[in-house]
Order: sequence, then C-alpha cells, then structure tokens
Amino acid sequence: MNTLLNVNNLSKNYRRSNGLFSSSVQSAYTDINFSLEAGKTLSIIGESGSGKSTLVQTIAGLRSQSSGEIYLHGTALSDFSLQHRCKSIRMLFHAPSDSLNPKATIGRILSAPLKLNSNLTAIERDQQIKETLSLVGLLPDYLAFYPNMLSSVQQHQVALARAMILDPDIIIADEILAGLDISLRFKLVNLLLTIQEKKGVSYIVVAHNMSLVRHISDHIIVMHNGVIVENDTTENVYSSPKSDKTKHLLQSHQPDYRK
Amino acid sequence: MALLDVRNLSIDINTAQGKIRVIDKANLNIVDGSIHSLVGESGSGKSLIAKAVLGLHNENWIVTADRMFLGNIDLMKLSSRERRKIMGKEIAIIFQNPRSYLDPSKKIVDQMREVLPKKLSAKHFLKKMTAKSTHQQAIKELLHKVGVQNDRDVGNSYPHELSEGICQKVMIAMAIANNPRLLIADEPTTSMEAVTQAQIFRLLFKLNQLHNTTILLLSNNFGSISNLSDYISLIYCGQTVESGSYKQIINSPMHPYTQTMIKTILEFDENIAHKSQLYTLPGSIPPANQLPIGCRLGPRCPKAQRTCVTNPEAVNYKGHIIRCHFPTLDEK
Repeated sequence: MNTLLNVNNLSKNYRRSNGLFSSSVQSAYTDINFSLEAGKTLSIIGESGSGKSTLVQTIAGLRSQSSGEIYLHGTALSDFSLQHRCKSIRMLFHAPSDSLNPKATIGRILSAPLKLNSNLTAIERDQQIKETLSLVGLLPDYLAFYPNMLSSVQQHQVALARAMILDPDIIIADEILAGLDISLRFKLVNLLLTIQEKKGVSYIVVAHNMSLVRHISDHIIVMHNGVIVENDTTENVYSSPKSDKTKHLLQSHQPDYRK
Repeated sequence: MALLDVRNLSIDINTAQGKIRVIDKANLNIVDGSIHSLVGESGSGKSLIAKAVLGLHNENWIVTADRMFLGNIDLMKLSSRERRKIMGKEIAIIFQNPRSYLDPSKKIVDQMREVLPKKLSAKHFLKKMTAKSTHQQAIKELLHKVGVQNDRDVGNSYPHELSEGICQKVMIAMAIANNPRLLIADEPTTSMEAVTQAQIFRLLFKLNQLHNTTILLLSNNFGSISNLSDYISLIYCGQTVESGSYKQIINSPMHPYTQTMIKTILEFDENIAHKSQLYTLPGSIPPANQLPIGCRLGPRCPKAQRTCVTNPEAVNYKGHIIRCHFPTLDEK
C-alpha cells in the first residue's frame, strides 16, 4: 500500500520555569510512530490530557515538535514550504463559530486560502469556491452571508469547505462532533464519508463517541499520558482490545445499568 | 403514585415578532422513585419545561397549565415567594456547564455551606462555634456521597481549579443537600468526555437506587440515557411526541421521530456496513419563529400526509402516550 503520512519518533516537550533559575521539562507526548494510507481514516482516542490535541496540532503545523519527523509522500515536512504544507494538510477546529472570522462573509472566508496559496485568477477562484460549496452541500446563496447567520451544522459545512478548497491530502478534525446534537452529528459524519468517497481524502479524527469512531475509522490509535498504548485496525481494537486503557474506554462508553 | 403531574403545559413567549408558542401542551407524569428522561434535540424546549416546573421563568413568558401538582401541592396557585421555598428543598436542579453556575470567586466549601439545610445553621453565638464543625462534617459527607474522595482539597479550591466532572459532582452534592423529592438534571453531561459522562450517569443512577431520589433527566442523546431511565418522553420542537416506559419505547416505538432516535444508537450486531451512510431525517430543525403548523415534525416526517397540518391529539395506549396521525401500531 502507498503510505501517505508517516510519523516517526515524534516527541514534544515543554519547558516550564519554576523559579528564577530552575526549570523542568514536561512532555506532551513521546515517541509517536504511526502511518496513514491515502483515502483512509485514522482515529485518535484517549482521555483528556493524553496529548491527542497537541499531537494533531503538530501534524497540522500549528506547533513544532521537539524531536522526530513527519513524512508526507516520503518527504520530511520540515523540508516543505509553509504554503505547500498547508495545501496538503488542513485542519478543522472544535468550534466553527470561533474559527470562522465573524466580520467576513462566507465568500471572503473561502477565497482567502486560494488567494494566499494558489495562482488562480478571480474567475477560477469563483469557480473553485462554488464547486467546493456544492461538495459540502451548501447553495451559492450563502456566499454573501456572515457566519453568525448560519446554524451550527452549516458553520461546520463552511469550515469543511474552507478545508477542502485547496484539495488537500489530509484533513485533521479535532473533536468536531462533540458539540453537536446526535442527529446533526450523523449528518456531519455522512458528509465526511461522502467527501472521502468522492475525493479520496484521508482523515485524522480526534473523537470521543466510540460508536461513531468505530463507524468512520479504518485504524485507531489509543493514547494515554502522551504514549500510544494501542495502535491497530478498528476491527481488532473493538473485538479484542489489548491494553487495559482501551478496555476502560470501551466499557465506559455505553454501560449497561439494567443488568 | 405520581410525584409530579403536569398536564397541558403551554409556554408562550412574547417576542418582537409576536407571541410564539414554544411549548405546546406538554404532559409529564413522573412516578415517585423513578428516573424519567426527557429527550429532545437542542432548541426543542426541554430546559423551558424544567424551568417552568421550577418557576424560574421571567416576565415575558406566559405559562399556562391545566394541572401542575408536586405531590399534593398545586404549583400554579403558589406565589413566587412560596415557589422559592420549594426550590432547593423539594425540587433541585443541576445545570449543564457546571463551571458557569458555580460562583468563581468563592471556594467550594463556602458555596456548599450556603445550601446546607437551615436547621444546621444556628443563630446563637455559642452554637455558632459548634456549627462550623457540623457544617464541615455535613459537607464532607455530601462530597463523599457523590464520589469525591479528597474532600479537603476539593473544598478548598475555586471552581476554575477543578475539572468539569468534579464541578458537576459538586453541583449534584449541592442539589441533594436538602434531600429534594425531585432532582432535575438539565443535560448534566454535555461537553464532557465519555469516561466522565459515564461517571456522572452512574452517580445519578446510584442516587436513584440507594436514596430513592426521583430524577427528571433532560438529554439530547437518546443512546446515552435510555439505558438508565424507567420512563422516557420524547419532545420535538416543543411538542411531546411519545411518552412511555423504557420497554414500551424501546420495543414498540410508534412515532417516526422515536424510531429515528432509536436508530441513533449504533448497534453493530445489526449489520450496519462500515462507513455507510447513517440514517437521519431530511432537513433540519426549524427555528422557533418559523415553526410549521400542525404536527411540527410534518415537513421532515417520512410518513407525513395531508392531515398532518392539523395537530394530532394525544392517544393513550395502556400508558404509552403518542401524538401522531399515522403511528406504527403492533400487529398483535
């Protein structure tokens, strides 16, 4: 299989000063190794504080790692230019109402990444924006709207359009499902699955809802205290979890009170 | 025996666009010692019902009900001052986002001391000296009851220093301080992760089992609460669509909306293909000022026909109450 993303011995340490001269080192995650294939979905699960978010932010390029390297198509990400990097890896944030500029229309929000990262003309840009909007299931009428005029799912759709507009290889979704109602979650999951089928994009998903994770992902990584405790295909993780942490997470998901 | 009996509760809110009927003839019958869940998506009016029962509504709400009894107290006839006395003692509420409901400028012990029953706080000077240790003992016991082990550390912290789960446990401890007859839990676990969520639900379940506290549990996730509840009511856009015992709802759902909600529990024994499209109703929830007439599910309902523009009457099949023109009835 062709490997799209390869993460090699990735570690991140924070230096914390305690006092005037002394400082201590705290690690967010250590020795992370995994790979992701094109068109597949990788889910990262774990309790809060286990380093999931810091890890995906490093892959997206929002933070730098202390050691280790990330390879995309076999090339180290540190060799990529910033433009090239953000063309191939895009990120979706937890709350779209916070990540969309409230003072820009949807049209402006969507044209910004194209202006900064591509050499398209205004007409081509317009064409690209309309195509992407229809891909996420929005009408072109929304281009003149401001984010606060849209419902929470529509805001998610706009955020997804902004991520998809540069035709990336990987989309990172950091707990985008947590704040939504269950039926809206299903709607967004359906949309993500359709887009993956059409465009062959890979996802890295950080999520809490175990049954949805099971449904959408091909591969699962379980993290605890900054270390990967389990790394296997979805089938194996759910049918025969090896580590206690995974078992604990699976059990607490839908406990049975009646028996 | 019914602890809380609410019949035909309607709430109208005066807005700039005129009067909007946000809750349309809701019925609620909570049996003493049970867990009753009220399930609906956000914006469906669950919290409004809870607030109306508690009497927390403000001036521009018009609350009407044919009957609203707590035990044998008629809540509709009480003045707001008498209502205030019932709040906390007879009915207690825990909110979502506990951190925003705790006072950020006070330590947990000081906040908890305020809610302790009056008989514990003494007016006499000498008694005040001894009262302090009784208080501390009471707070300790309460915190242990809700599963907070290190009561001293938690008590001496400010809300921002504690995790969301611990804050919710403190809220529950404060709510049960006066041994209320009814505990209303308004989406107690939104934005919590799965492990903490399970802890909170287990705690509520234990309170119900061991102390026989009646709980009205509001939630937007059918899957996570259906298992621990004895009775379930579903609400869509302010209309109660179906209400019945756990078995009735799970085994023979009659309303299309209930059937959709049951499908949101992903059971992988029934073969749902990996990465297949999940079942949802078409369209989205209408905003409160653009509600359809008649049955509000109408435009999204797979079974809708012409008669659905009139509001269906509630029909009672052996305690299984349903509002639909075309319910799925058992062939038996």
